[in-house]
Amino acid sequence: MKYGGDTSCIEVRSRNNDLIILDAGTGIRRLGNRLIEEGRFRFSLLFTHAHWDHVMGFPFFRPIYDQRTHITITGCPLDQGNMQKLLSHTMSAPHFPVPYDVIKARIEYEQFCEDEFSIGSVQITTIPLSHPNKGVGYRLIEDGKSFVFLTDNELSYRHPGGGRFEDYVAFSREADFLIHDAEYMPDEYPGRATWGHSHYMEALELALAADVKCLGLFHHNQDRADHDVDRMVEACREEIVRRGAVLECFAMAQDRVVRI
Amino acid sequence: MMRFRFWGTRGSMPAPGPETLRYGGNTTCLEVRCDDRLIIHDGGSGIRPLGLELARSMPIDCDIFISHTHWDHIHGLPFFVPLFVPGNSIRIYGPPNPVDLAGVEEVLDKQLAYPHFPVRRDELAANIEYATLKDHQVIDLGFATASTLLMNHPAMNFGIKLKYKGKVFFFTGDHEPFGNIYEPGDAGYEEYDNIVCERRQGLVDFLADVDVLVADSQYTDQEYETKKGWGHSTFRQNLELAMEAGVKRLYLTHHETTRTDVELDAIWDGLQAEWGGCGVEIHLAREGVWFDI
Repeated sequence: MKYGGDTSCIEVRSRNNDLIILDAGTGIRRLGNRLIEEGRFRFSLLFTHAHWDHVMGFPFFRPIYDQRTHITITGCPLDQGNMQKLLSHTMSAPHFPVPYDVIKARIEYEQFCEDEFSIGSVQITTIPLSHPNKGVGYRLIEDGKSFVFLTDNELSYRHPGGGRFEDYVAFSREADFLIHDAEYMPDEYPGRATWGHSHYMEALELALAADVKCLGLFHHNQDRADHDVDRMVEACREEIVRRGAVLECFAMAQDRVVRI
Repeated sequence: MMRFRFWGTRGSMPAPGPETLRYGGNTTCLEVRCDDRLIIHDGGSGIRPLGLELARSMPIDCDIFISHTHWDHIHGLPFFVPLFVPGNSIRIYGPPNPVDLAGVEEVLDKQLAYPHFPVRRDELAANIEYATLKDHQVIDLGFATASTLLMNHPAMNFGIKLKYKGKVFFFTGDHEPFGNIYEPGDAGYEEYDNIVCERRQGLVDFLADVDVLVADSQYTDQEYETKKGWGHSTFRQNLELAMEAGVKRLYLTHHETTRTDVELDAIWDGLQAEWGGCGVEIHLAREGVWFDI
């Protein structure tokens, strides 16, 4: 209830009200309903990777069935194909009754394989994630403020194509806000090493080493109860105090708005 | 003794949150117990917490029936812990892919595949057997029998009837009453109407010995007006079906994704007012409660 039960989806608004959506987990269903209420039809989608929990909301994102909608999917094709093809897997028989072809929205795929590109007033840089089947992390920058989004990233195990801890430190350097995968408790991690996720103390180490201003713990394990997420946050805050560091830390909760 | 409980009651997509706490936000999954033997219907997101509960008493032995392979009936399967643990014996029954008639295991191969999931089907460590279902098939489970009936949905969907020690339980999976795809006057209307009548009667006959009917009731009458052909039934259609077939107890499930607890309460009041005394005991499906069959 407190932190939420939907899978990954983040809404980012720029100063000019450009709308960037990060991932299409189940949370995008509710976002879609709100965008329709708002009368908003133009936006960009960025994907970290194509594991089900990051794409499974797409068929239930109502704006795709409206011809006024115009979506730009920006990014570099994964080894397994571009996101349009991968999204079409969520809308294929015999798993979903509506084929991808009947989407009424205009969906453009903008290929950017350079490390940097921009959407409206937001400049974006990318980094490969350390995760099975790979993925992409993002840094969004506007007016000198920056927001780094690294989910499904295992900091102490280097998956093929992924970076080292120091690479993520450099990428997150002095960010105003860092959201990082904190799927596990430290004592759970040894049994789940190489699964592609970090424990919260690793996320905290990254935030401290990169000197970021604020850390949001993210990608809560599906079995994590709210009071255990609270415990994670308390443990992080105690550690920050113990080290005499300056860092704001909380756990990401559905519908929470963060102004950067 | 035969009994069951819902681990998922929701249609289309999980809907977690404060507004769905009482009836539940997980997608379809039912646990049926024949004394200590276990049968599971569907692998929606509700099968994940069921798997966690079962993990406390492994090794387990169970039969899983997949009514059809739309996401909301299978997307919990990769998170069903017992599949990953050696020593568990699990039999998975489901429809073929209607396009190429590939077996149910091949359908799961697409779900457990890079780059959408990090573990492949071959890597599941339990002892798993797959059986692809046909219409009007009777399966001897050793302790009970399961029989299939092809329902009406935009995917091949089998309703499953379970018989155990004189009790009979039926779960529709997703189903919309059979309807004519032609307009009166069109060529083909009458011929198709015969098929519709035959299949409807076939379902009524199939339900004749059923004690407990669990039925897809995603829509209200009003919602159904714009959702004909989507493959789901209304509360009213299921009550009419239960009455015609002489089924005494009806559980209405596959709640519309956006339906809140408060709205379901109102629907419940409406059903009681309209159908109380019709001879069918009516229940709205909710997660977690055991019901005796």
